[in-house]
This record gives sequence, structure tokens and C-alpha cells, in this order.
Amino acid sequence: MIKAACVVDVNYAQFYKKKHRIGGDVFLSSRDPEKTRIGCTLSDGLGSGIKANVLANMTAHMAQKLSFSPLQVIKSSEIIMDTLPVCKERKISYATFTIVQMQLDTPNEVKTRIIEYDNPDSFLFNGSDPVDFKRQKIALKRKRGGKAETVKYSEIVLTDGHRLVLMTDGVTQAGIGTRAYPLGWRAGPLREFIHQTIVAHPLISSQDLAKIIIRKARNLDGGEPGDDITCAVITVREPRDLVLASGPPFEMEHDKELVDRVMCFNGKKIVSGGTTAQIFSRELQTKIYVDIKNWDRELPPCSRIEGLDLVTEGMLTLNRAAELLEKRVPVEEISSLSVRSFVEMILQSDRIFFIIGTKINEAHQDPNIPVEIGIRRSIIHRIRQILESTYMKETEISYL
Amino acid sequence: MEKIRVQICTGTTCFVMGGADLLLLEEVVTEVWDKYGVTSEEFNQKVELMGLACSDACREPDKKPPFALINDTLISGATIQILLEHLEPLFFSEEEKTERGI
Repeated sequence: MIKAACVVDVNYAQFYKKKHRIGGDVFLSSRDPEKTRIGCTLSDGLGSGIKANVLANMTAHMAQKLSFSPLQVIKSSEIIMDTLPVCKERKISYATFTIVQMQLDTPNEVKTRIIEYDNPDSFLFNGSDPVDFKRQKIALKRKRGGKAETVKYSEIVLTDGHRLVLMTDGVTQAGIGTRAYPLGWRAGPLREFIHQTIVAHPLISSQDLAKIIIRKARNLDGGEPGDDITCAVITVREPRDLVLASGPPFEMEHDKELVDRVMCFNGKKIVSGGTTAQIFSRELQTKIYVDIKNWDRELPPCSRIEGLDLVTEGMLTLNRAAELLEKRVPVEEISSLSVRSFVEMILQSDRIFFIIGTKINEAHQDPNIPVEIGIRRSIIHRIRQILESTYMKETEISYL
Repeated sequence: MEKIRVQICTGTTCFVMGGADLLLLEEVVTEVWDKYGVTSEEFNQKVELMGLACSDACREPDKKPPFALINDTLISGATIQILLEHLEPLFFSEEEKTERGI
């Protein structure tokens, strides 16, 4: 169900240290089943490779679990610190962490708690302007002794236009030892870079901002990261809506209603299906232009109808989209233009409204058809599930 | 001269029933009619190849996908061979036929 007036767009990007196929930085984010809370954890395991990955993963998973328990955050941090192994020589824990817990139950504001332990301080921006916030230092005692540990705790309220940027030291220390950046990128210049990037792209998504930051960090490292580089961005903004119409209505007299509902929709509009496209073309009295230059052996080309953002073939494209979404294939690696545009448009939206026609396509029932075409409703169900669980999108469905 | 309009249905049913091959018409024509000196350039001068969102012809029981339209003639159960047969008399004038020895 869709309820929020503001949405929280959480995403991250990372590079592993050169010559490493596994990293010691881990970022996790999840929603509680009631969808009133979001918890994110960024953890950096000391060292690199498998050992660091296991430790960072342990930390991040513990923090995620504890985020949704009624325990106090400080208590949660203590549990994590007590559970984490401490390096014998250095007397410090193996993994740093930043935990962000967000409450979504009040409209238009997101109550946020941040716990930072030995990661670079996160940055808050209001629009493109950097904003300082108060951090409370809390001393934690480990049961097993060792050095005194301090975590920084803050409570802030995020509203439309706020961005929170988390990073590991691979970002702030990028370029260290080079003539231009003897001490690395460092917080000040990094914050200025993020500010400039938001000025240039005020509507930039969390994912794109995180990517720009880590690419710059990798460049400062001469293209070969000296450490794992991870950046996560949390953006609070007005939701971006998308409507996806697929399938002709059961009764032909609802064709006009379908077209009206889509055309009056405030947001992006996708139509998937040849027959559905015909309905739009007929009702809107506009021509369909099929782009036959762009197709591949497995997927038919997409078309254009004025007033719609994307028109694709139906079942084959939807099936492929479900597969790609389930496998989390990055958009830039999708070769087929129609399904790439489809996936990209959906992932750039926060709320997806499905309008599904329930008429059965007799032509699909022919036993001579060489491939499994499937049932529209079940494939849409698969897409919805994956969008909600993995991509944290909100969806709503109606049948015509 | 007016171009020959060839429309290929790109709906799901047509596409999986062989319509994908029909979209390769230009490649096939330039290969098969290479002996008559037909180039890609000539093909594009004479033919306008277009996609069609779904001709709805697949709902009629006596017709069989994939479908193509050459000018206004609907071709049911289209194959590349059938398209070539329909295209030939429209593509070459009588003079061209004698010139090229068709």
C-alpha cells in the first residue's frame, strides 16, 4: 500500500580495493515489515579481503537486526562492540560502523537517529547546502575491557530536500600520498565537491550521487583504489510516480477509462503490450511508431506514442524485466533497449501504479507457440514483489 | 516514385512465431538479390520498412501469425521467402528486370 507523502531514496555505490574481488566495506538497508522504519548500516572491516568482509558483514547484519528491535541504539552499539572480536595487538574492534535509523510514521518528516563509530563523519545537506548537526559523544564500555570506545550519537529530522551522505575512509583518504592530495581527499574538499555536484544536478538520485563520489575518489587514487571505497546516500524528497498499463481491459467499454486514467496520471507513463498500445492509439487518435532499428533476437522493439514515455511489447519484455530485476543486473549492462528503458524508468521512480487489463489474449493460447508466454497477472505479481522487497519501492495495483 | 511500405507486426505472438526473422528483411534482400546488384542504399530508396504494434489479425481463426503488410496487402503466415515473392514485382520495374536479367 502507498501511504508516505515523502519518500526516502536509499542507495549506495562501491569499488573494492585494487586486485580484490571481495570487499571489507558492507552497506545494508532494509525496511521493517510495517514499512514505518528504515534501517541502514555502513560497516568497514579492518584489513581487507575475506576477513574484513566477514567482520563487516557480521557488524552490518547485527546492526540491521538490532535496528528493528525495541532496544536503545546505544545498547545495540554495545552489543555489537562486545560481540566483535578485538584485535590482540591493537586493542580495537575489527569493524567500524555508521547506523542510520529512520522513522516514517509522521507525514513529511523523517525522524532520524545516527550512530557513528570510527567511520568518517557523515554529511547532511539541505538542498545543496551543507548543514552541521550536533553529535553527542557517548563512551561505551566493553565487557572485556580494552581501549575506551566512543560513539557519536545524533538525532535529526529530515524533510523534503535533505540528503545524508555516508562514506567509508576509502573515500576521505582517496588520493593519499599523491602530490595533489598528500593527506587524501579529506572531509572539507569532499563536502565541497558534493555541494557542487548537487548544485549542478539538483534532482540527482541517491544512486547517481553515490556513483559520482566514488568515481571521483577512484580517480584521485589514480584509477586503482588503495582501499575499499563505499558511499551511501539517503535522499528525502517528494515521490516520483510511474504508471504502468499492461493488457486490454476485460470489457471493451473500459478501454476509454484505461486511457483516461493513464493520460491524467501525474508522473511517468509506460504502456506494455501491442494490443494495449493499439487501444491508446485508437482512443488518442495518434499513430504508433515502432522503432525497428532497436531490437534483438529475443525481444521485440519498443514503440512511441505521443504523450507516453515508453511503449513496449508486453509479455516477453515483462518476463525479461522480472528476470533482470530479480538478478539485480545493473541497468547499464542490459543490452536490449526496450527492456533497459523499462527497468531504468521503473528504478528511477519511487511509487509504481500498475493498471492491469484482465482480458485473455486468445492468440497466446495457441499450442504452436514455441515459448512459454505465461500469465500477465503472475508476471506482474513477480515484478511487484521484487520491487517492494529488494528495491524498496511502493506499489499499488488495480485491475480493469 | 512512391516507396513500397512493408510493415512487420512486432506483437508478442508474431514475434515468437517468426516475426523476428522478418525484421531482418533488409539484410536478407541485400544478400539474396546481391546477384541483381541490389544494395542497402537501393533497398532504402525503394522500401520503407516499418514495425506494427499488433495488427489484431491474430484474433481471426483462419489467419496465422506472423503477419506483414506490403502496401495494403495483409500477408498471413509470413516468411522471409513469401515476403520476397510479394516484393519482387513491386521492387523491379519491367525495364530493370530485363537489364538485370531477372
